[in-house]
Amino acid sequence: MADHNDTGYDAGALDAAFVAFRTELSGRVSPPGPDAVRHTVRRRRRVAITTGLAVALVLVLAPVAGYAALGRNSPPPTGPASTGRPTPSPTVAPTPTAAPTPTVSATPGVPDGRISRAQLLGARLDLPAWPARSPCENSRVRLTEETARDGDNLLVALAYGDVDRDGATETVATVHCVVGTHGPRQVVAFDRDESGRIVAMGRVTRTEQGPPEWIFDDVEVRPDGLVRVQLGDIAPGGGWDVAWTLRQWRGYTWDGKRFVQSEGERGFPENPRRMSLAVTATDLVYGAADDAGQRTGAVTVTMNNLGELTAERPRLVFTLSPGGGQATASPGWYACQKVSTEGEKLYCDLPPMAPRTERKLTFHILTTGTEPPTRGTVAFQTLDDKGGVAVDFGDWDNRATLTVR
Amino acid sequence: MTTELNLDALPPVTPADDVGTGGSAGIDFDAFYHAHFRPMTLQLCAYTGDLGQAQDLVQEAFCRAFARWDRVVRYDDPVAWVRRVAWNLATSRWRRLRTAQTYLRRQREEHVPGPTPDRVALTAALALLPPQHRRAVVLHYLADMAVAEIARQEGVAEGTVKSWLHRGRVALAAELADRKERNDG
Repeated sequence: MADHNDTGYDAGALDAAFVAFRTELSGRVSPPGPDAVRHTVRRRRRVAITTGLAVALVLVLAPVAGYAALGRNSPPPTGPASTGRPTPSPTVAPTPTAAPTPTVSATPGVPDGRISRAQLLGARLDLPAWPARSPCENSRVRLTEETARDGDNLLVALAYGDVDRDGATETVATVHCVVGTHGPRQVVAFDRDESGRIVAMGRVTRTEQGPPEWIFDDVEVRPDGLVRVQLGDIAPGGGWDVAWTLRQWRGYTWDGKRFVQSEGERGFPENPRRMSLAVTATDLVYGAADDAGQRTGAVTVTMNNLGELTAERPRLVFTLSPGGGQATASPGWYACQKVSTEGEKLYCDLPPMAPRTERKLTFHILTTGTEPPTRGTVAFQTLDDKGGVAVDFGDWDNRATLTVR
Repeated sequence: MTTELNLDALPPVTPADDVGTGGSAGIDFDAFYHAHFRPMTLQLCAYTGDLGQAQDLVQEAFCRAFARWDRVVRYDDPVAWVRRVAWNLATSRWRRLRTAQTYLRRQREEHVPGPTPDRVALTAALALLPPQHRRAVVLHYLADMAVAEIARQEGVAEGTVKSWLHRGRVALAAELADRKERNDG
């Protein structure tokens, strides 16, 4: 009789099945033994030494061969070659210019996921995709150490550790796609495949358009395989001081297929230094000509302070071409603390605007001649205490095009 | 790991005929190996359904442990380290095992009797479980691990493991009962 209890299954049958499994199979396991372990480790060690030695010999013998090719006497033997038995050391690794491709393919052992800076810089790599509209390539790219031009994939930071917790080392790199002083960044884990080729395991994390816009240069791999990355809400540059950027350490773990965040905050709070204004406007509609032949247009402008800072000196700037315009009696202009004009521009300096507030004003604008302008824009900005335009983020929404009719 | 030239980190490799300790801090590598090779192989055999592959995975895990034995032996639970490596190798992307496989292939060429119908049935029923449920069930029954330990190895909450275990057991029991009925009928 099956023993289901209240578990919904026959617990006794399961126990019995596993006991039988264990009993039957136990005698069939044939451990190769600890000596086989030593044999394997010794062989791998020997291969490692041979690899190092081969490189050492190439480094030493290359100039000798060069000399011979020139038909001159060989220079006196130096260094390891003079002993005939160079001592391999961890420092006898391929040099930055030698062996851009991995050297492990001839190795019968486990591919080495510890990839040196030089090897990473020397290889053609397939990176996880960059954001759309990014100028950087991600297929068969070569990383650079110094920025030369937009579109370069700059190697920013390197770390090593067993990220997939399989007992072998992998390589984690922060890569920056250079776009002026900004550009996206991503942290990528690299390993080698069985042929020794460097392959990207996957992306640990990357910057976004909007927080997190920045990844700082430090990346770490903890002994338990967790990859720690320091993220910033706003990318430095373009007037934004890195000191104003909010920082968060976040941790990511490999789940067998991809990296998932397992530690740290998942979002940034509003940055107290962040100014974010936005503006929209209706069409600029002109009426019939008056006795003097001038026409009056009307436009309603909606201003938003989206950020957490008070806009102390907000300003609207109308640009009307050709001909500009003149302010004329309407609620909008009355709301201004100061109205001024300069060429085709009309300025309205407004009183301070609190965070997260909206203001809607209608402006009447008189043509300077008899014909209305054919095109126009309105910009919304705030001045800093020096009279310059304060840094605004997401400044794509600080200007609206006016459809004139 | 083979070309990781940090030779200082490697334990002394004794000649094959000198079965040295290869260890430190009071744990003898050989004794450690013999105590844990079979149980781990059974677990991975239940998980992968392939005894030869299970032996490969466990042997490779021990190789990786030996290559850094000085460090591993100082961990709170060296067994957990080796087991985790073996299990991660079972699900790793490339099964980076060539050297151990070459050796083990020779071992497997010996004649072994076929599995019993009960073992075939359990292996087949396990294979039908989603991998996470299968891991939880195998670790519970064959590694005698508590829910908290499984949760730690898998990096998930204990509640998740409980759920995997329950669902895995229900499905496994149903499948075994079905098979028994078919065979008996």
